[in-house]
Amino acid sequence: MDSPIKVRSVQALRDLKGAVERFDQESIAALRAAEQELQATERWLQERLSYWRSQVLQWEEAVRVAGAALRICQASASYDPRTGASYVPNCSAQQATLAQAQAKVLEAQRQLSNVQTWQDMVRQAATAYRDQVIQVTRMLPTVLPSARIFLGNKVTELETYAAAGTLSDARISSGTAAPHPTAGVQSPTPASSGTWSTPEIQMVTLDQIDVSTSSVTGPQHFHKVSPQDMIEGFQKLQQVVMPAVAQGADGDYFAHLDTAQGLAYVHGYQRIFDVFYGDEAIRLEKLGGTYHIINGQHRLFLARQLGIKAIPALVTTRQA
Amino acid sequence: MNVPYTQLQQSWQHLSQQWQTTTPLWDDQVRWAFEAEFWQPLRSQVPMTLMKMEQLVRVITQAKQQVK
Repeated sequence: MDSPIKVRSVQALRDLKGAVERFDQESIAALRAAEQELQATERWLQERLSYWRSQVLQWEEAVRVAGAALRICQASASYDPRTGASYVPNCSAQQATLAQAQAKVLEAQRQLSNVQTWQDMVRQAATAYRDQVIQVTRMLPTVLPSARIFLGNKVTELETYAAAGTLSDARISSGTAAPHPTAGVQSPTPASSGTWSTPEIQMVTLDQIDVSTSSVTGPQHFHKVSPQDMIEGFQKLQQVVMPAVAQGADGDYFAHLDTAQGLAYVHGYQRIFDVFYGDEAIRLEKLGGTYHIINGQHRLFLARQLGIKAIPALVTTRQA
Repeated sequence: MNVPYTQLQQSWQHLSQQWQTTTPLWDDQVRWAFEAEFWQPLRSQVPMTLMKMEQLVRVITQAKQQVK
């Protein structure tokens, strides 16, 4: 039994979808910009560190030179035993130069230490931030597009009900659409004895599909194709391929469409058609009112995650 | 770092406010599924990211003031 829909404002869902789209775009842009600024700060601190290190070395050298000059000056003192006169040089300038150089060394060392302190503090804060960014950037590329599609489907569904004037007591629909004549045909392997119909493409509601035997329970089970790629495939399926197929489009139509848009097969619509209506279609066996999965567990798992209600599949029905 | 922080914070605030506006108007099993599947992960991760970013912004601002 499907649960009732309780939505008092379709516009609120549209606005929520818009906010999700905005956050999807702006969050990624903000995180990228933050990382760029962080790297710029790290480079600036490293540059300051190098600068003050060189300043320490430079003023230490100045101290050595000034010290040598002072010693030479002081060594120029003399005593004339014949006259008893002594000569004491004025080395105050050399002493002042030495004192100034020593002060500069101390200042450069203090600044060097200061840079090291702030470099450590920035490093610690950056590590904590980047650890968190790793967490969030693992989640955002999956959750946000899925949420957007989920809400888009919901809005479309509600608009359809509203157009039919049945929103007041709307329920999630179930049932199947007419078979598609362009579907690829393969013979299934019956799980049990009996007579089987010719396989045909049908729209099957996900609620009718028995997923209890599916081994796909999370993103960790996606190896060949990433969830993100599959989500994009579902977008193409729902926005372009399914509406066109409903109008009679076949594989040639999508091949022409890909050519017109300059899309390679792997990124195009023909591939989506093949995946859902052709030789790679999801295959189900219908026993009574329940559909059992022959193949397509990953697509069916993700379709449920995206809140998709019905999906094209190659169905073989066991005759009574 | 202030600009990206403000951008992320305002965008999240906008989304949160929209969610707060929507929830009283959408109260069925699909909404609960949406909340569990999509909203909860965002609510647990995004504010934490903002907090860490704010701490980093504060440290960087001080560093720029203190380091010559």
